Amino acid sequence: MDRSLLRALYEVVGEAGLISDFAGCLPYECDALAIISQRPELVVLPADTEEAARAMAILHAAHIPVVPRGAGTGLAGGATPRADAAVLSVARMKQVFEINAADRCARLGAGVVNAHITEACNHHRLFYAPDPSSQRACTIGGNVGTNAGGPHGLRYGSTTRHILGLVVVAPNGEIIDLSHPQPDPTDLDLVGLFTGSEGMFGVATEVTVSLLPQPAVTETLLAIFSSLDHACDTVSAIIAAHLEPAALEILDALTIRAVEDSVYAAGYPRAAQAVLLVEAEGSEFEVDTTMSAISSLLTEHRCIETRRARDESERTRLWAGRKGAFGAMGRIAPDLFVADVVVPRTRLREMVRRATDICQELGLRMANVFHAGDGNLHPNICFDRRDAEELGRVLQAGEQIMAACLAMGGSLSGEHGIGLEKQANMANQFEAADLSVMERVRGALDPERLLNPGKLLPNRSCLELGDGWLPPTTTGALR
Amino acid sequence: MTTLAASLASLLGPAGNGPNPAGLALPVAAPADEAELLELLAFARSEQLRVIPMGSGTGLTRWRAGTGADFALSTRRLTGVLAFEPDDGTLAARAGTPLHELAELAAGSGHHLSPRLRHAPTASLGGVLSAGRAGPDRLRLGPPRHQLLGTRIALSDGTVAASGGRLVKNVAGFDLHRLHCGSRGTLGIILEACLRLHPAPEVSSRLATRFAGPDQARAAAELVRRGPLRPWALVLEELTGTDGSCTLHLELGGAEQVHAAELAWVRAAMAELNGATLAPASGEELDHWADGAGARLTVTCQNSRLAAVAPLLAELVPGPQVTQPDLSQIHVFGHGPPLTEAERHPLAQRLARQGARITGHARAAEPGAEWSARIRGALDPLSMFAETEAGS
Repeated sequence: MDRSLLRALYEVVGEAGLISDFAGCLPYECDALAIISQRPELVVLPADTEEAARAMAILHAAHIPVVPRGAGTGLAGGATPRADAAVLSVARMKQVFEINAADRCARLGAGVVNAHITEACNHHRLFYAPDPSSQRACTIGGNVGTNAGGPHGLRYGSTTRHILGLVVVAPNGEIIDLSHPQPDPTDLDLVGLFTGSEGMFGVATEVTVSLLPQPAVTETLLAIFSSLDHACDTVSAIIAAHLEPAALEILDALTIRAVEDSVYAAGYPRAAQAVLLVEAEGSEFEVDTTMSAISSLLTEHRCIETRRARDESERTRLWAGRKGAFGAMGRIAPDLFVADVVVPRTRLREMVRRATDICQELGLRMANVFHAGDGNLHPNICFDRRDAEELGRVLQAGEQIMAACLAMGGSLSGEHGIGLEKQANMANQFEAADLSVMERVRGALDPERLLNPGKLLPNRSCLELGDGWLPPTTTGALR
Repeated sequence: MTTLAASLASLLGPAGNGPNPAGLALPVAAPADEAELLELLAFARSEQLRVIPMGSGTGLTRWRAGTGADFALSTRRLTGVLAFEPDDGTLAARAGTPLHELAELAAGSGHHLSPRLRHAPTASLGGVLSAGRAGPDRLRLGPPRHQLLGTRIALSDGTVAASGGRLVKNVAGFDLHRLHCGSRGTLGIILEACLRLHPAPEVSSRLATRFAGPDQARAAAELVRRGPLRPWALVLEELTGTDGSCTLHLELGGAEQVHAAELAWVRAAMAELNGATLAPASGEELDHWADGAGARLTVTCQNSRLAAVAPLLAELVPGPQVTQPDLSQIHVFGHGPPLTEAERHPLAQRLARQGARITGHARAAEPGAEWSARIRGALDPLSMFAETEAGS
């Protein structure tokens, strides 16, 4: 890396904001999709918008691509660096600028951790709704980049519904303040466009989020099934009955056992083939009505037992099992491939079965834990990346699961984004014209394609190679 | 018949011309299908014509034609349901399909379609989305851009492209469909759209209570806002009183037991507040008021600024106000046409000092204006689609 460039960046971000040594850059070589990695030569950690803008201007002048990064918890390789790029992390932007209880919003630095938002406004009896499983680590800036979801997205929607405004640093270092206090955009919905754009239009440095009143009552119930099919059918029936619980999460037998063997043990019955975690929130009368109707459906769909959380500690324990499920799977195998696909909620059982069959045919261990109420599946394949042959089968299974999902009218991603992992598959979900229009918009906002290049939109080689394409910049096991 | 009108007629036949809503001084071309629409765009390209995209034209009472447009292109004949999945809660249709038809279809399976615009029976799906029009149900369900799951769009160069899809959760690709919602057709023409459906209330009630003035009504609204309710509408209006009074309208709905409990709570809360009594009300005007259709001016601000902004607005633009408290929106009704851009400019400056903004009034140095311009340049490089000026 050019020394004069490093000096210029050092002048802006200081020692605490610049990493250029081998060991220091190593933790930034991948996000949570660890099978694709590339150590960057430079990591810049600005402390605020001003520093980010000045750093971006310097990098832009030097034509150095920038890979934005939150906490690196993304599961699709969206924050995986490129050899010639600098990583720009918002992790130091942890300022809580304002909690506005009257208007139910908060203005935050992009590096604020998701779970800390609710902690910061808890005393106003407000909360921030999107709750990805990584919420103890992931940042609001990263959540904006991927349009993150979470179990309670069923009732409250994904991140995009909760972002009121952004301060964005454009590729050339210009600061664009989109944090208008009005409920609607004055012109085009740039905030809506930016959310979920996977860092390809700019770097969000400040985020204004909406806060919701804490529900008066929350009730959590664990429904136990002797069949994963029955659990899936129950969810489809709950949706078809127009009920509005806050969350509907399914964990299958392998996941249950992994959780129960781990520090996240939640008291799930080890003999069960599936559990459905049901949560209802709202006023007392609303929760009572919803839970009563769901209980009837559980009985109809052969639920063998229900356990109602009697207090907050029991509720927390039930959720700890769900939120810790990915971590618990480390007990099954050293690596986890977390697929993220969506199907219409009428086809849950069919898709879960298909994913199971695919993994069985390929001799892989697959554990299901997913946002069933949204039709958002996470077939998790447990493997060891040191075994190149097994890794090959894992990637093959991922491709087949995505293909099956698209064939059912589904989508490649419900919440993790496309990143590097599914870039080539975009050509299977979208027509060439669709992708070309996305590329036009990207070119309008980043004409030199310096921001997070090589992500989300398939390049020509992806389209030509089709299935089985692997990113050219991968290292390690994929080489 | 002008040369242009004759050309359009020859392209589309007699059914493809007019009617001409809102008295537009322009020919209105209404292609019968997507192929004709693309043919029309090709014609506009070859003749270097500028086009105002429109749905059925109901919103054009609120939007005046911009300068330089040669004809309006209406999608009112592109009708039909493409996919209705009641068990998944999604509904996709062609842009010209009347919204009320879709709402009726959804209601048949116990669903509610948002936005609810009962006062605009001819409003089309595409037109409503392009204009970003919201109904009173926005309070509970969010703005139209949150209902939109995906679109297919025709761009001025003839490209037809989709974004999003027909799923309630989906983050694949850029959310370009959100850009089109509220863009007033300046990026392209919506051909198809898919909306998320919501459970319809089993029972609902519309209630109203009158207060001596807006301050007392706002206090009551705040009480409702802080309570355990999930109202379908909450509107304060000064239109029906002649003595400076302000009426709070509330619409509640849900499962029978939930509804009964909500009614009991709100009645008790209002009784505690100056002994106010909620009486049943027809609420037929709620959608109209909430949409702001026919308002001279609409202003938005943060909820905490309403108490300061409303009196200032009353001083600047006298007339009965309709306020949607939780949405921080004030519509000013009254006699006279919507204010012109020149009239609104000094008002906008005064209101900006109170943190309020006139809807549709874009300041010259609007943050993000350059990004918006660049996106328009990328999607409509020929500048074919004429920008319309906000009327209110």
